[in-house]
Amino acid sequence: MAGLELLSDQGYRVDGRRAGELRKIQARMGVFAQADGSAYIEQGNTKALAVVYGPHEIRGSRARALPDRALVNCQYSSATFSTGERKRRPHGDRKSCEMGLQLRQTFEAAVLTQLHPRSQIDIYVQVLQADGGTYAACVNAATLAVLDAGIPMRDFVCACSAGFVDGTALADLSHVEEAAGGPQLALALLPSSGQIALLEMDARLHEDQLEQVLETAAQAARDVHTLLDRVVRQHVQEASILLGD
Amino acid sequence: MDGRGCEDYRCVEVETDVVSNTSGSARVKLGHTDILVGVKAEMGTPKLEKPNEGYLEFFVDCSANATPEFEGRGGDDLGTEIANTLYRIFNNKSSVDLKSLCISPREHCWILYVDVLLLECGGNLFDAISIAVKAALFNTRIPRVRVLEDEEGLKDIELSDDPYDCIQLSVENVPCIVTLCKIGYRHVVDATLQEEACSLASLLVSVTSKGVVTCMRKVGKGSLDPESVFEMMETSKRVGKVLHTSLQSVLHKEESLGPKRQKVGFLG
Repeated sequence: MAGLELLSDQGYRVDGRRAGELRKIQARMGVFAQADGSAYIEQGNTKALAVVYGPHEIRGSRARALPDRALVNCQYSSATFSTGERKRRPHGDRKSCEMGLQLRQTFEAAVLTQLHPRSQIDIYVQVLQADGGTYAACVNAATLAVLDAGIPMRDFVCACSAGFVDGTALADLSHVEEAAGGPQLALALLPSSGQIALLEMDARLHEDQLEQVLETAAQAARDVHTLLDRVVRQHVQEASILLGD
Repeated sequence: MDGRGCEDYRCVEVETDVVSNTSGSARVKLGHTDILVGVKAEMGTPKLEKPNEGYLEFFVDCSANATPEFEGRGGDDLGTEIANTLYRIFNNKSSVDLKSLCISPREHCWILYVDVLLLECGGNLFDAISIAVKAALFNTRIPRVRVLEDEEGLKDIELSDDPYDCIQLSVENVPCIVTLCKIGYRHVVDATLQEEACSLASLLVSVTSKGVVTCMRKVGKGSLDPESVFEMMETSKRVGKVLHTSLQSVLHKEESLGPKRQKVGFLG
């Protein structure tokens, strides 16, 4: 792409980061009092809100109830003002539906659904500002929200995106880097066991380079896990101070 | 029920410039009600019947975050109702100076897309939304453009190079909605969800800062007798003026802190 160097000769990216460096992450749990669990995360300029309701009785048709596990229902919605160009519909379009299904697949792998048979867990994610890595931000926010709701999970689910430019793998792509058209990988990881909950890749990538990109994404996801762990501990500490323990 | 008087509002938190890739944005937290408004300014052609003015387009999204019933298309009804109310209160000439949004008559004008995102429902939606819309319009910065005409008569629009060279809208006359719920024989301002469930009818009055009533609407299953309607209108004018003065002072104070102020957003 003429005129825009994604990786300079000294190894700096467009926003000054190194190849494997994440953007600044700030998160908060318990943003809304009326929902069962909620969380807000900022990854660089990408801002996402996640809200969890449940486990509660199945809404709609009872026939959908599973006799041995809970049903996980996800909706992904991005605000009309979230992208540079105004979006006409916040949800209901193909991309949002696909993201919802991906989130559902991710969380069905992590949430201990056998503990709540015949019930439903709703996870709603709202993207307020999109600057690349929206799937990763949504998964991270949803993990914190599920933890805030007290729903038991096998492990944290940490996600990160990765790309490949000029022989180097980049972690946590911003919008500019995603729009440049190179290969992009989205990875959701359960850090303690190293199991992958979701892996998705766009564009062409040579199989020799796949391992390098995958390893960069996995390392970035483990870094995200350290940060999220700290956020959860801080939240629990604040909550216990307020309760007077 | 929570110790307030009949004309007292709950604690309101207003913050502007929360979302950075919009022309203006605001977040309002009124008790448990949470609203986020983003304004995007785009260029377009003026409407045929008003060639010298720009216009505003409202869109209200009731997010599933507020309650699971809003999932999918569930929130569309409420969203359309709120958007129609906003169109009605902004329909008069004096609310926003639409002529300042015109770039060249009949050809180019600014269209302001005001997008309201309802994040949490804790009662008294209309008031919170109107406060947020007013704050977001106050925060909106529209870039200054110049129309250049060359020899063949072709017009070219040039954006100024300085990103801070913007025009600001005057929100002096933007009205705010005051909702009065009738509970028993008294009426209450700023009802919570439980109080709204007890009330049979409410009156939405849109009041400007000078106390001028621009629009009025009755909602609810019950009926109101005419005397109480007059009483409610007087109350709303009183309450509305106080609301406007305090909102203006807070917005000016926030703006005077300058661009270096610490943005809290949802993290605080």
